[in-house]
Amino acid sequence: MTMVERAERKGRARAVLFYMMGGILTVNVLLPLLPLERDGDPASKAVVLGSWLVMIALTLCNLLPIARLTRHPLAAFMDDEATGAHRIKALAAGFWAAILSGAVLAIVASYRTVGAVDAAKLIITAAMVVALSSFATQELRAAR
Amino acid sequence: MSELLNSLKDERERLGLTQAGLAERAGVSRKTINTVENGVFVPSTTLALRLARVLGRPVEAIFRLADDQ
Repeated sequence: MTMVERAERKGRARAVLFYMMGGILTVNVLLPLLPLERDGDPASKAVVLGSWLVMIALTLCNLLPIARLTRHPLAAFMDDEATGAHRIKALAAGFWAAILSGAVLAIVASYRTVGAVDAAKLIITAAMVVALSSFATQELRAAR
Repeated sequence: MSELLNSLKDERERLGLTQAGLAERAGVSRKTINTVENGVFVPSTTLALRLARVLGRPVEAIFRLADDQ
């Protein structure tokens, strides 16, 4: 299998993984908002928040071109110019999603109480999910 | 801003290369070749020159501005 074919296969797998990560992040941020999760003790809340932060950090690492640092020959094919352009557009889409979700939350918070942690998680998750799905969609479309 | 047109597909097919074959020679992914051919992605000057070198043609024979026609 040539380097281009390997990069293509891995690129598709990465796009699918990004969709899955977006789904997991969404479920992870929505589940604790359910009323039944509200009565957790501070220690378990800290664990939930900590695991969420780790997941965000890992997802963010995937969105950034860290593969280039490895200098692996395949990295040049996986993160070439078109992928770089997709990454920039995806991060821009994530930025606008953060602005929009922040604005919506500001409106909602004027009618009902929204916790700072919940608000931060919602805004960050919205930005990440939009960036991940935008990147994955562009990559799969380009690989057609 | 003027649209960038290209004859990358014609030049590639002239040499009997697939998108993957051209990508391998140019050191980029097939999706980069695909998006350039479809006009979705505008390549950098460096990549345009590299593609021209691989195809054995001057860069202006492959890429041109729409309002130059």
